[in-house]
Amino acid sequence: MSTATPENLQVSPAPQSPSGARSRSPLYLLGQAAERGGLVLLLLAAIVVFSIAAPDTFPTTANLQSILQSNSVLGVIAVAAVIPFVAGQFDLSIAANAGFGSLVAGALMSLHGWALLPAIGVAILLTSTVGLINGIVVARLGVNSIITTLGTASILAGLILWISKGNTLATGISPKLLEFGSGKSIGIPHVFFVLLAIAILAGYLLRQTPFGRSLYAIGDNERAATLVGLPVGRYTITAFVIGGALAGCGGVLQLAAAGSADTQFGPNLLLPALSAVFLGATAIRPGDYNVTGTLIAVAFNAVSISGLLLAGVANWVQPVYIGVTLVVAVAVSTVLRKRRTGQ
Amino acid sequence: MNSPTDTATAPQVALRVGGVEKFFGATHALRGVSLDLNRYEVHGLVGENGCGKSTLVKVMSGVHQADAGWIEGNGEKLSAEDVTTAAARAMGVTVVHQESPIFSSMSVEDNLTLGRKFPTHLGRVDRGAVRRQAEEVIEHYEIPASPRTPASELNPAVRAMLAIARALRDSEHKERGVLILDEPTAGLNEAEVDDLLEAVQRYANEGQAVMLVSHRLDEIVGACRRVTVLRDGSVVTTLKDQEIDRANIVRLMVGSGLAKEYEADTSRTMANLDTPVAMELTDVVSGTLRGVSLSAHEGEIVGLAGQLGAGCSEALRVAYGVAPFSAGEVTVAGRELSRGRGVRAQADIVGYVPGDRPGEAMFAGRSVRENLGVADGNEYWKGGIFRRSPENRDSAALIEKYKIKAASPSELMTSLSGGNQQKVVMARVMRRRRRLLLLDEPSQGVDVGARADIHRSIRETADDGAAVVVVSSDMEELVRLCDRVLIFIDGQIAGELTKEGLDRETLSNLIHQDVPTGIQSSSTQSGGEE
Repeated sequence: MSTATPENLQVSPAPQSPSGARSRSPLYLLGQAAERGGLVLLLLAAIVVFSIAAPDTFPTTANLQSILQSNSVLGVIAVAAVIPFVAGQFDLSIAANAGFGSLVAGALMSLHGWALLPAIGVAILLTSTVGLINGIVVARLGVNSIITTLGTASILAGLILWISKGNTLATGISPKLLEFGSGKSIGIPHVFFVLLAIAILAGYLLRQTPFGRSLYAIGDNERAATLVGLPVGRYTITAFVIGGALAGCGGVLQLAAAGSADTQFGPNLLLPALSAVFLGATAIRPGDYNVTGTLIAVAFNAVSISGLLLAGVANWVQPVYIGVTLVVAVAVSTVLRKRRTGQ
Repeated sequence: MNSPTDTATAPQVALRVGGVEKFFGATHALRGVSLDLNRYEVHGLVGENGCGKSTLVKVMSGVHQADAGWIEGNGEKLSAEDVTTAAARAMGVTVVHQESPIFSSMSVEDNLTLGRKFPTHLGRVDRGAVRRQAEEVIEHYEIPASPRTPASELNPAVRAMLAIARALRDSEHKERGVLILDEPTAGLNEAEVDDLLEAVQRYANEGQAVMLVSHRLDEIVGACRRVTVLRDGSVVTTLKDQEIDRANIVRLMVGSGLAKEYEADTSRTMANLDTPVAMELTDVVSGTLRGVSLSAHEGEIVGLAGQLGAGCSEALRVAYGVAPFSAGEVTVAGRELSRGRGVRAQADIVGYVPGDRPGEAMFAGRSVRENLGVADGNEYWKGGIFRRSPENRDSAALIEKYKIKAASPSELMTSLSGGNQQKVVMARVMRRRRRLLLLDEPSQGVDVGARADIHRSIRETADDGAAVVVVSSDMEELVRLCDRVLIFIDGQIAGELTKEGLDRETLSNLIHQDVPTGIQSSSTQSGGEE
């Protein structure tokens, strides 16, 4: 809510700018900056508040490392989800797909004695194939993406049970992977570096390539995109494939960080990942699904959960807090957008 | 300005608007707007794109609250800041917008019943009562449709009448209210416009104060007793009776001095067409086309005229490769298109502007810059990154060239007025050299000044060697722009007018000729002389 106040100033009359639409008053720019940076301010505010509420446990190196360690995988999955979202498509199978990737890599090493790299390669290849299938069903057959990926998520949950027989696979995982997954460099967990690399790659794809630009256009108006000659079907499928590949990376990262392949991990991350994507779309480039905003949203949620825990707040408060923040942030952003565009 | 005082007839003022100011962020959209709407009168509201017409309508109907001013109606005077939709309704104001909220998938009777309570019998919808009520409305408002017709089968004029009838029926001021029609004739051809305006006149005669917002000056001149001209958010003047003429209005809308140039005629006689053929349809059969042959040579502008559904737009879609055809041959820029399902937009060599802007031509949630460059992304992608400064420079140049009213290239498309959005769409297609341009209603919603600019750009493109095919429901546009015009009737070409015989009346008569089914095929095979 703290973003609402400066923005409200912007919509009131600004008689000092007689040239109308062509002028950009300082007040207007301030309002825009507040809208872009609102979530960052919220994150900073949360850090300050929790540092005061739990001064001995929250603002410590150990807690920061723990936050980074335990949220990087979520970050990767959220970034993976952003890409189909930009193309105007939901991928509700993204977290299940990450779980699938984690389990395939784990099972290949644990049950079949594969080496690390082939296991990772096959796992990511399979999650990409899941994306390909989603993409083909959505883009070529024209099936609604929510329904398609909901179905895929269920199929993947079944496959995970079949492969694992319901067990957590903890033996025979490459020690190199485990060492990497739990290790740190310059005090920062390795898994966070992987998240950064994937985020930079995804951000580059979306912002710095014609492909990414086209994806935003497709997400806005698919019919118009077709008529200006963009390869809508191919790009939509590609978006699902990239989403699937990144989800696979997230799965492998989870295997590395947790040391085992667990049947439950994937599905549990779906709602946190989606909520970060939506919350992220209110920041940095308001109205657009974007990677930086998504990362800030993941950080905000992670800091909040950690802070609430350490401040001794009851368990049930966390999900309520996350839910309220999401709805309020998106609502504020929607209202601001309406006012700004005069719609 | 003060309310007009007409001592001779002492008009009954139904709604009075005074000193209305409205800001959107830094934009000063309305600057002290005042006007009176009288009973028994049709009052025109005109102005260029982005002059504040739509904003004024929204303030009068309570959709937007103004920042200053007042509105008086039905014996009540409210500060314009307090006019909500409910308050506007209480003053008798009813608005029908250009995209009339008619549900295509529902029948006429269901459309008429929506928004009020469906009559029920023992808890179930009483279909008999629904039909009886619908029949009453249809009869009272003289709508040429039957209750069970699906709305998708109605022509746009009838849809508009249906929307108006529903709005009036729901108003408590059926006979003596204020009816605001926002671009009711957009996309209608001349006969449909006449039908609709006749109906509007009828509503006025019954005691409604009607405000007609329109870009089509001829219909404003024909239909209105008073015309208020807006420019840059201010009322320039309100014209009465004999003061209302086209030239006068244009001059007031655009400001003095520029008016002459804007009305220029760019069409010309193409004596020798020995240039190569850029587009050729031979005996094409598709959804609505029933054996159409036409060609466009490089350097000429060909118009297609016809009623809605006569096949003009379909011909463009077939040529662009996005509508399948079942028989015949299509060649564009030397490339033969494949028949049947394998449809693919020929965007690399052909520029196409669809008629349905919100649905097919624009990216509402993207910036103006992205809308301009959406098809040219590769141009700015060098060394693996997007070069933003050349792109911004090019966008700014296009904004300048097409006189697009946008605060900056990064302004969202949705915050532009309809006419300015259309300019962006045109600029996107015209920025690149093409061998063929297919334009469906290229200047829809665009004001007179910008229309002349768009026409000039189209002519330049043709002079550069492109073939241009234009579909328009505005006969004036075809006359001013095209070198020859083909007449479409019922999926076939019924004749051709060259520059010498090209005028509005002839065109209008030709597209509305009654060709009984079965006769036309023999008379249209030539597709040549009139």
